[in-house]
Amino acid sequence: MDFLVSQLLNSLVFGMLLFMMSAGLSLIFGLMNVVNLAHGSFFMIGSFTAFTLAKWSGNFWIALAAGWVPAAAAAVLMERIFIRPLYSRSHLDQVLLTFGFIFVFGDICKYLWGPDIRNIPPPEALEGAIIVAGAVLPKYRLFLVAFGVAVAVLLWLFLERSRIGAMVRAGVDDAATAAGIGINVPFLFGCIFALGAALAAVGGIVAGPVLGTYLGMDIEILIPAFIVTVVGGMGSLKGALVAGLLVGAIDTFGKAYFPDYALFLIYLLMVVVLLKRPQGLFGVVKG
Amino acid sequence: MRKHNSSLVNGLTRRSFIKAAGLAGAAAVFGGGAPVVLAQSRAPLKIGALNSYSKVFAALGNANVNGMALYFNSIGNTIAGRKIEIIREDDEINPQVGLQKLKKLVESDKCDLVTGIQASNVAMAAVQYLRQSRAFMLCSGAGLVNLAFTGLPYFFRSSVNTYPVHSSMGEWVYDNVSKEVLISASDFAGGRGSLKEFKDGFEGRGGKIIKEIYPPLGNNDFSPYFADIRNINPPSTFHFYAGTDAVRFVNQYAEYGLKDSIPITGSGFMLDSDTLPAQGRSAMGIRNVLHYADTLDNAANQEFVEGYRGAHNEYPSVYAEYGYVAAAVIHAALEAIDGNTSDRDKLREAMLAVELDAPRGPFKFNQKTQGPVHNVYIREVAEVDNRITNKVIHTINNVTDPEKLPA
Amino acid sequence: MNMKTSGRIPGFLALCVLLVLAPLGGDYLLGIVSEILIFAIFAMSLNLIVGYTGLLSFGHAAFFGVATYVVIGLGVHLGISGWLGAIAGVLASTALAAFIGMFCIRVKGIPFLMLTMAFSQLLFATALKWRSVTGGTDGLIGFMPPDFFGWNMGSDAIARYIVIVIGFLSVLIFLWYLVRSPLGSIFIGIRDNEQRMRAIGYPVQRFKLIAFTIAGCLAGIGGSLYALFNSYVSSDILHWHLSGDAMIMVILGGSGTVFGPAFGAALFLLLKNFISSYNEYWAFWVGVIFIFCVMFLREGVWGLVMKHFGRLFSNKDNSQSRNRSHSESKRQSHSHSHSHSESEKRVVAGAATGEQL
Repeated sequence: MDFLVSQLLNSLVFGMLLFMMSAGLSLIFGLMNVVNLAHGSFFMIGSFTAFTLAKWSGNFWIALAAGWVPAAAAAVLMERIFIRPLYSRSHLDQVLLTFGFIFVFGDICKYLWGPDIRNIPPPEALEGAIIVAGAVLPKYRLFLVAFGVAVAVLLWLFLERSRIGAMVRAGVDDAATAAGIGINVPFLFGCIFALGAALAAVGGIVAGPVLGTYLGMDIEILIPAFIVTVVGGMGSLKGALVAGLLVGAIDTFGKAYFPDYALFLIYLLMVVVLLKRPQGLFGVVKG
Repeated sequence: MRKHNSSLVNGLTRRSFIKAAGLAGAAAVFGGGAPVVLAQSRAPLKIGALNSYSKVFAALGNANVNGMALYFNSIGNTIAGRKIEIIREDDEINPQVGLQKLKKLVESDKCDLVTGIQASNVAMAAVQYLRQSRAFMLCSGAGLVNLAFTGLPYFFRSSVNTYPVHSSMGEWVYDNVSKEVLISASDFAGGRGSLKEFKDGFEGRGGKIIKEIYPPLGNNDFSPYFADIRNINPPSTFHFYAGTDAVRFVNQYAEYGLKDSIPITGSGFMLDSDTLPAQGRSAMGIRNVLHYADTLDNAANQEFVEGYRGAHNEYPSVYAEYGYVAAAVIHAALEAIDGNTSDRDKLREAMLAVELDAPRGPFKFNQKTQGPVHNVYIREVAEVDNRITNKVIHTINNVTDPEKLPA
Repeated sequence: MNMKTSGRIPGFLALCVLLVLAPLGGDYLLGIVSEILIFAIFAMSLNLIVGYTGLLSFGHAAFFGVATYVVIGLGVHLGISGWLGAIAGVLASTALAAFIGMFCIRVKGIPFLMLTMAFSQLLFATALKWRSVTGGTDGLIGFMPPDFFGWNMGSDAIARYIVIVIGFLSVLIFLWYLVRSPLGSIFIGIRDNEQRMRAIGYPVQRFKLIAFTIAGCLAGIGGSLYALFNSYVSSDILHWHLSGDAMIMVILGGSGTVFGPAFGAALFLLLKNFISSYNEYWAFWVGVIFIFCVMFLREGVWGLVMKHFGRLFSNKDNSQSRNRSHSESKRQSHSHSHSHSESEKRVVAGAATGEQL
């Protein structure tokens, strides 16, 4: 029984991690219609920056508070200089552009931090585990779940309840009209891109103590992030959350009970969703 | 045909892009340019360093060449009047790429000998080529047991054979830890092979393997497996993981409190200088096995560690030690024959006769398999001088390749 | 159309001369050229769907890799000769492309991209886990390449090279005629304006599937040749990373011509090999060049070459040739659909929207 409870918590935690990784990607596509293949790169940059900050300051929270800044800054530059000229071109070109940045960012990280594996140590307060009903629950992972929920709530508040969020939604629905009533759409898009990158970076920071910080993590999380966003629906926050938990569950229970098929099942899920319901579980069909 | 006006508004035109990229490119490429070969009275000594310098094994390849370069620098980069030139090639952990680069080193660059190869699949492919080409190779990397039985006269291995290392651990665990054990490793040839080596030693003593678990290579989250392990509650465990998997596994094992309740042992490759900084306190107390430890108390090791720290500002890993020893072997062998690499048989004889005090302890070649004869150390991760590293708790002397290829 | 043909023949002859001279450079150079030719096939096959039919796929590695696996697998497990294995490999890729294509063409744009990637990763996951058949990440060793007219392809680099050259030229010539054929112009029509093609009465879905299948078949040829060249396969070959590399080759060379991606393959592999000898950050430079091409050089490097030097070869009507090369790279420039609709004879023009996928 406690085996089941353990696995349940494991899947919850992993699901939250996936949600954090995918929220940014989903946001950018849903609101800007841009598929950012370099999403994983922001994840990685955030993780490495936090590692350095944590090392200098000895404090995890400082690293979390400030580690996402370089990634967001890089995103702003990237959007302003490279993506903006391509808004009028096809999505093909935008996707390809972001693909090229994977290589650029990857080598920049390699240049700045070298090829060694790094690790962001979790804060001392969150080291160790608590035991509940015979199941071992590491404190840091519980924090991850809570943090993920907090991020989800904050994002929801921002999008649904704030004026800025309303402007964003307006800009997405109909950019021409939004511009017509005075909303600075390009500026807004820039903000959204930066927000998406910041989310990815924060994901990389909080995931650091669990996954490690190393070159290649950008490519590694790209596929799971895509699966979650596709299944959940591009642009849907609720979708990213639900799909993250779903994929987390399949992955965890799959590894425990069907080790040979877990990976296959996840990709199969992606295929089925794309065919039966291309907009995902909670996505909106785009005109 | 008019091009995109919008880019002019942003200030980034095609021309400015090219200019910027070109300048940066020229600076970068030629700033870190190829090594310069000085004119010498004798032809330079070309040593090929075929390793993986990219992807997951990047740190290993770099460490390997760093170790080699460190030794050669300490002898003035010259042996018997010949200037040493190291030519690096990246095998990208791909056997065919490795083969092509090997051919390039041997046929195109005309290397006197080739060192390196950390990846076992590349090493096996290389052996096929060496059979035909009769090139001289001093393997300073891959530890799989098959390489001890190639039968090639010009193939030497100065790094390690993991078989006796892991099987010694199997015996030691049986004698000192528990008679039953649960084992796990990443699901790939290196992982499965290492466990089999451990099993040979452990079961050979009469031990019982409770369960074998093989998480996929590159696994993120080991918690499902930990739940399983806790359920089974074995008296002890043994593991083999490499790279990022090693970091994650060890960290998560501690995170889940398993370290305190179930004794854990492992392969030294899982707990060496390349992973310990990232593993930190999670690794403390884990007993493991390797043929080297950076805390070894001998003159050669002190010189090696201090030199490496001076040059690279970090402690050397076992992969750097491979390179250092390979360089020392080359030095000793070539000096004995006055740097004359044209006669392979003489070089072979000289190499077989090499005996030296390496950082890992006394070193010489097994005359039959041309593999290393050295000590194997049972180590324990501990804090030494404010640094988390391995201290040696037991030494096994004169360990070498088995008589024949194990089944 | 005639003047373009006359322009092509000197180019083709020049290519043949280069190919014939390559063996003189030694085995190592020959190995590099062989690898370039194999990936040129892969990239050209991808371009059939990307450049000529307008479908952006990130799962093309599936068809390349499956063929390689079939050849090596049959050879290692059942001792089947490489030649028979190669035929089986190409058939397997073709069938697989038809099967996967049936599902993928049901969606368009970004979902199509994701679906192709998902199917390819599905195969990757299978190869990774099915160790008994595929060897997982360790791959399959022990493949013995067959003989080619008495020379063993395993030991003789020139024998391998000749087989690969034959494969490459066959694919090149086939594609060249295909895109100029009625079938080819249907593909181009679908790329330029799918709705209009449908309105005219073409069964667009069927033709998309045909294009996808042919592309898969050609990728299978590349994959089979890779097996004969490499004598090794591992699960890496099915990873989307390879599909990404092929896309880079297509963009670098230019998606507007048949030969462009082949040129792109050469450019990519040479850059990689050349830069990595001096500098370990070759990925950065490839990324920079790639971004540059996407932003400013959408016709690709080869497209640029063709634009400036292609006119040298056409002795007839210069303006007509300029329009022709415009139409080939038309889809990349959004603001020019009005300037050369008069040159669209066979190809259905019309307002090309941003949604080219």
